[in-house]
Amino acid sequence: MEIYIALLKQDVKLGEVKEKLAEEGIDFLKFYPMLNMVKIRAEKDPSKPCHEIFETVEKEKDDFSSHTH
Amino acid sequence: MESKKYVVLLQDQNSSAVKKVEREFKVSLTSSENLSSTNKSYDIIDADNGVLYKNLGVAVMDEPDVEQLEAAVNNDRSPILYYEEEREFFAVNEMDLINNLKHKAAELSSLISELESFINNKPLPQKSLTEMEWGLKAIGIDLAQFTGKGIDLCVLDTGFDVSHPDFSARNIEGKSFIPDEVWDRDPYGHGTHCAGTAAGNVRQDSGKRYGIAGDCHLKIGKVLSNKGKGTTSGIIDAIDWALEHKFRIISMSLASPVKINEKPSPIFEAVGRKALASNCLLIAAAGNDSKRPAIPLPVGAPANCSSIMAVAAIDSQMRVAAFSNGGINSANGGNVNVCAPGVDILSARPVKAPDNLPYTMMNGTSMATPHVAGLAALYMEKFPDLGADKIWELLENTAKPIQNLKYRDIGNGLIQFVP
Repeated sequence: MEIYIALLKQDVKLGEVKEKLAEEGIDFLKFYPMLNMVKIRAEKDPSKPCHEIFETVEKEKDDFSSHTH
Repeated sequence: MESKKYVVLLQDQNSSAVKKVEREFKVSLTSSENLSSTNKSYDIIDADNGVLYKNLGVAVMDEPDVEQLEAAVNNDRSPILYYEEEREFFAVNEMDLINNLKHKAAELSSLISELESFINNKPLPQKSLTEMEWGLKAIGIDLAQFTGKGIDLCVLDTGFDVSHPDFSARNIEGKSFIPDEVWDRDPYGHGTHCAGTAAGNVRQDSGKRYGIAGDCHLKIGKVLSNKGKGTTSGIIDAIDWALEHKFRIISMSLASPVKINEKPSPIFEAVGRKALASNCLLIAAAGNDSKRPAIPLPVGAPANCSSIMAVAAIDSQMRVAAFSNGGINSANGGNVNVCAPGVDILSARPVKAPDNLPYTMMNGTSMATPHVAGLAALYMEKFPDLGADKIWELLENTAKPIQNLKYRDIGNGLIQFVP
C-alpha cells in the first residue's frame, strides 16, 4: 500500500470523492480543505480509476530533508 | 568741498611729452625740483597747476577730465600710461585694530555656535547603531526601520525550542505534523536556527543582531522529524493549516532532490498557486546537492515549482556556495529566483544544557531561505496593501545581481531591503 496526495477537480464534492474511493477500495485518510486535496492509501496508482474526481495524483515522497553543510 | 586729485604715470618726461600733457589738459606742470619748504606741492596744485615728480615720472593734477585721461591711456601716442584717483592713507590705530579683531571674533563665534547647534540637533542618520551578522548587513537590514510587526510568518521545519532565552517574551503558536513529536522542542536544532534568522532579534549576550523580523508573529509547523526528515503529506498538511490561519509567509528550509530534466510536482505547483491566491508567499530552499564548481545540480522540490520562490545560497565573499543548487532544469521551470546569505550564518540553537551557548553557525540554502522570509515580512509591514504576489515581485525586483555570477545560480540576485 502506498500513500498518495490528490488534487480534487474543482466541482467535485467531498462526499462524491469518499464514495468513489470506497468503490475502488482506496482508503481515504485526510482532506485538506484550503488546498482542496486529499491524502489516500491505495494498492496501485489511483490516477486512472479516479480520473473523474482527481485533477492530479502524486505518490507521497518521504525524502524531504533539512540537511545542512 | 575738497577737490579730487589724480596721479598720472607718464611714459616719457622729455619736454615735448610734458608740453603735450600741459596742452591737452590745460595745466601747467611744476617740476618737483622746484619744490621747497616754502614752495610746497599742496600750495601749487590747483585747477590750472600740477606738479611733475621727475624721478618718479608721475604728475599730480587737480580734477583733470577723467574721460580725457581714459582716452589718453588708450591712445598709443599719448605719454600717459596710467592714472588713478589720489588715495588717503591713515596711520594704524592699535585700538581700532583690536576692536576690529574683536568684532570679527564675535562674528566667528556666532557662526561656530550656529554650526554647533546644527550638529547637535541634526537628525540621526538612518543607519543602525546595532552590530549585526554579515548576512543581515549584506541584504541591507541596517537600513530598515521595519521589524515585520504584525506579520504572521510561519517556519515549517524541525520545530522550535521555545525555551530559547531570546524568545522567552514571544508569544509563539505552533503545531506538529509529525506523529508523536512536539513542535515546541527541537532536538535537531535546524528549525530553531532558521526561525532565529527569520524572526529573531539580538543576541542576549553581546547585543549583536542575527534575526530580521523581530516583531513578527512567529508560527511554527513541525514537518520534519527529530532526525530532519519529512514527507509530502506532512508538508501539505502544514500548509493547509497555515492557509486556514491566514499566515502571510511560509518559509520552508527543506528539499527533496530531483533528477536532471525531472518536472516539478503538479501537487506542489497547485499548492503554491493556491497559497498566492490566498495572499500567502511560499519560500523554499533550492537544496544543497551540488558540488561546485564541477557538479551543479538542479533546484530540488518543492522550490522547483514556479509558484514557490526558490532561494540559492552565497557566502560573504559574494560567491555561490559550493553546495547550492542551480536552475539546471529551467526548461521545466526549476529556476532559482533569488539568492541570500547561506554560509557561516550565526543564529539561535536549542539550549541543551545550561552552559551551552544558545547560538551556532550553520551553512545551507536552508539558512538563505529565512533571510528571504524575514525580508518579505519587513516589506509586508512597509507595504500593507501589497499582496503576496506583489511582495514576490518586489523581492525579485530589488535583488542585486552579483558580478560574474549567473542567473542560473542566483536568479535575480542578492535580496536587498530598499528603504
